[in-house]
Amino acid sequence: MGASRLRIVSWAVALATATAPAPAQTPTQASVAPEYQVKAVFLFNFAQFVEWPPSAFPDSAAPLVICVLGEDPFGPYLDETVRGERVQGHPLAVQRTRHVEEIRNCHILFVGRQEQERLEEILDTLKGRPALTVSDAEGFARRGGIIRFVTDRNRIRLRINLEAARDANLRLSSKLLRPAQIVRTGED
Amino acid sequence: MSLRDAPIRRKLMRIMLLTSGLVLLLTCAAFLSYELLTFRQTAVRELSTVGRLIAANSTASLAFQNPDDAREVMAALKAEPNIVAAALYDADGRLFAVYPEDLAAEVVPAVPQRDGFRFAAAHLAGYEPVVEDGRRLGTLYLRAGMGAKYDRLQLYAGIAAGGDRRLPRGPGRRGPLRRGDHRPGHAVRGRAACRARGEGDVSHHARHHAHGMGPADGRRRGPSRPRGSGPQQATETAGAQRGAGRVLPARSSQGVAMISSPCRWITLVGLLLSSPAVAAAQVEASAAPPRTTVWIGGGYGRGWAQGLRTEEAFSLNVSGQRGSVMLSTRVAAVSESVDETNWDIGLLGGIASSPRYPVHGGAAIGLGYAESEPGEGAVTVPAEVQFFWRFSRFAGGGLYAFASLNTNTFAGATLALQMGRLR
Repeated sequence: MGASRLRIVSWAVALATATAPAPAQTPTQASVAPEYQVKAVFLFNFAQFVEWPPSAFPDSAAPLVICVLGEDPFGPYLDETVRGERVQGHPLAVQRTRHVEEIRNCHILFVGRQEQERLEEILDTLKGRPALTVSDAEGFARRGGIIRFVTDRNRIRLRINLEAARDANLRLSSKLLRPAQIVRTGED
Repeated sequence: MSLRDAPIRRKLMRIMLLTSGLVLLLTCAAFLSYELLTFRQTAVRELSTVGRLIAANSTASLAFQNPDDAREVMAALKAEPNIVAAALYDADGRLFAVYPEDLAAEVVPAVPQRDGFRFAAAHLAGYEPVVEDGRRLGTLYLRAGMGAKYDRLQLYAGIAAGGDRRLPRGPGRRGPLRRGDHRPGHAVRGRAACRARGEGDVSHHARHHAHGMGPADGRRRGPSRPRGSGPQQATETAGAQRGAGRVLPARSSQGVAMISSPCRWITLVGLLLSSPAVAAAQVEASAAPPRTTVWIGGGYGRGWAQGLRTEEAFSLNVSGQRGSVMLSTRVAAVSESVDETNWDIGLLGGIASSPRYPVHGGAAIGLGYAESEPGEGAVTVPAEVQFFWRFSRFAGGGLYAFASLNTNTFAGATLALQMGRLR
């Protein structure tokens, strides 16, 4: 009797574990694709080539927040990349979330591919806010995102929507534009 | 008929001719010495400026791993024909891009060395940090052939010798290095290109060719995470952000217009000062029976090598004088450390003031052998100036200045003592 109850309980636990919505889980180091290791470094490097308005930070010591919306493809690499670093005097922080309402304080927002369907909602939430939106989703820059990662012949290239950057009140260094392709809203 | 019995008119004519010739020789020697001593500093400054411009424009290429863009930035180096090779390394020291595009990766050092520019036998090469917002993203390597610089000196020598001895410069004489060409453009000097000081390990086993290295092409290039780099070393110049597509101003490397104004002053002052002194020495030599003196001298002081000040300088000379003619054998050295010593030995001839007076001066130039690195010897033109107070007939103290003029010019000034038959 006791044994069968135990079996039922363990099955129930196993079932619950398998079907429960997983929290924004972080992939392990081994499971991260090499291209996301590179993209993690790129996300950090953007901070060096983009200037945020002073109003983007509550004070001079406030952290520059890099957010990952949706499933996190970077694993521990993003945290490792920004650990101990400072950009323009600000320390860096990484924040992972699945809720659009939590992205308002992000300075750099990486939008996962799975979030394409609610992209308009995401961009509307950030409208007028100084947030650098980055994604590798198809048509991201065309739809109003600022930077899209494009994989071209095994290399990661940048596609930048300057209008979107201007609307977000961000100043992009001309150096960042050098290796990038410039696109407009509506063409990607 | 000896000079003493000659008519005063001929005597004066001889004196004037001899004086003019000697003055011309001395001023030319001074002028060339100055050029040799300063042109290396100028070359370092110019290459360093170009390096900063290219480095400042390469930051995004390195940060976003775009070697095509890096090659485009470095293509601006075409405007500087002296620059025969360039390479960009990422933060992990891996070769990222090379210039010219078809340069074999083996020609440039496999890994970057210490920052800064250094002279080798026939070229100037060095490393410039690539820094953005105080963070080191990589290293730029530049190598410039010194052909144009030496050509300029040859031009000066030609002018001094009475005419423009310039040779028409054929295409390719100073062209950039091509694949398989392991020598700098002005290979006429016959020195191996890869024998640069501080980069002896120019590897023929470069880990990566610069071409075809993508960020995501397998694990060859993991994410090169930028590393904290301490104080910002690269200073971005004002024009740095204007894009490397701008053609750098081409520099005329020859022509009399390049003769800098300090040289003109040296020439003028040399003429003004030395004419009466030499004339007086000559008059005295012709009027009095010649006297023979011989002495040995040694000194210790400070030196300069490759345009930079060194720690120590040593001089040892055995000199003799008859009339106003002085002959001298000397060994001179300037030293930064035991490993970095420039020394020469030479035989010199020149003029000196009368040994009758306690204040004695002389200048001489000659031919000798110099080594800047063990086993790297070369013919040199040693020059010296002595200025002594001979406080007794047998001993004196003063200044002994020397220079060794060749492709690795060095010079020194020592406080020296001399002993012998001085008066």
